[in-house]
Amino acid sequence: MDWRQRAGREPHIAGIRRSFRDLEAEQQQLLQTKQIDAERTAGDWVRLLAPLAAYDAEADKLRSRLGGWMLGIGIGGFILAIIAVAINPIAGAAIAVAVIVAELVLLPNYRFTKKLDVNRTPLEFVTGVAPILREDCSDDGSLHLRLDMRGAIMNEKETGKSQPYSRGRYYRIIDTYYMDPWCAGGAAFVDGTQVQWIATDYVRSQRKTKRNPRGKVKTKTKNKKKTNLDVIVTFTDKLYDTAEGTSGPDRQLKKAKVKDGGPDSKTVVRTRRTIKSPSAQTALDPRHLVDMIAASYERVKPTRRKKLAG
Amino acid sequence: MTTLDMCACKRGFFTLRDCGNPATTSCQLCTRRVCDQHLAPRVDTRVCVECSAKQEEGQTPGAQPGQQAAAGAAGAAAAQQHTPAQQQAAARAALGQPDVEDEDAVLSREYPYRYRRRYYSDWGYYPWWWGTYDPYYNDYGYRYFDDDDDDDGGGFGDS
Repeated sequence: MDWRQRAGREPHIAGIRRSFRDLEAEQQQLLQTKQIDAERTAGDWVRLLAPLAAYDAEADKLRSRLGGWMLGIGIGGFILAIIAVAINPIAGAAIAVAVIVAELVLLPNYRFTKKLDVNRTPLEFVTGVAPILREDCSDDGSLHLRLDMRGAIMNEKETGKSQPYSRGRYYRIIDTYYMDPWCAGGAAFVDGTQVQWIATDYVRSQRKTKRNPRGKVKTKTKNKKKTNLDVIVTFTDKLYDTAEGTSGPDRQLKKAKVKDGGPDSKTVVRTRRTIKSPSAQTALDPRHLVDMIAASYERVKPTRRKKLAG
Repeated sequence: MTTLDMCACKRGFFTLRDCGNPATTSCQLCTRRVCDQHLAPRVDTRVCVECSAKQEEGQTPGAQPGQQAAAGAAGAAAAQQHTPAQQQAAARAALGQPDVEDEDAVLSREYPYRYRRRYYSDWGYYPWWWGTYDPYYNDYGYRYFDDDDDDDGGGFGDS
């Protein structure tokens, strides 16, 4: 069965391994390494990454369901086994064995999906933005992308940790900071313009502990994410020059810097936008990159009349 | 003098340029000659991707022509969704973006043209024009190279 037909359906325990086997060797490898640095056409990127996004969505659904089942079977089975032991010890033992067997059947599938879990944000971002950039690249124009789908919460990406402090009912709070540059890319447009971008997540993971009125210690972790999108657009001096002002609406940029070396040198526009997300799982809307490239084009003007095609 | 029969659609998002492919058929809505790449995937009609995007402007993607709903309604629906993923999916739908997991929809020639049209009108972007003049695009509000030497002295100045 084609992965697209399965994408909309409810995931099945046996089906998830089949879905994985249906992926091409390169896609399977990408799910294991979770990183890629390559140059291909926009269409090829979509063909490579869209099935991964579909697989990961299916695997996430299944893993969350398996987790619920394992928890339910564990708690329900434990209570049932205790009651059964009081009535008939053999029945109690049988229930306990059944619970252990069920858990052992579900656990490998849970671990399988967990091991191959990827951060879907880069996949969704690239599949959204690549077809739009393709329009400005020539037919054989390629996109260079460096994607990291491992997620931000990793020791390797930790940039700092606060000293424990207290606030309100929480007597111990520790903030851990992570920096995750998950997508860097570049493209050359037909008009000679070069576009480079990098999307970096800054995550604050707050682990806070409190004691409830009954004296029980409770700890919870909250993650907050802020994404910095930096874009550098280099315009060829053959077609563009710096404009006197900005011709478009306010595009809510945090930084916009235009470097103009004169009429015979390239104009470089650097822009930055900061996007705050309500949760660490929120994907980045491709419109942000489109907006920033548009803002760069609003800072230049053509220097000659020319017809471009193809 | 011979006139080459070229596709009339414009390629590009941030700048617009001529397609450059030979035309193979005519759009039944605008009557322009277009190439296979710029033909919208319709079963019984031949419509170019730009007319298709024009038709779908203001519609909820997936809705039938007779059941048009304003994009604003889709935005309002987004607010009623519960999870961030549902809200994002609704927002994507309101902007004309397909589900990112649907490779065919994303790779479809129509998607960038639908997105382009909506983006220009919703976010006030005027693309630079590097193509041949075509009155079809007069409602786009594009920008072009304005040579001061072209001033012929005419116009509506005081006399």
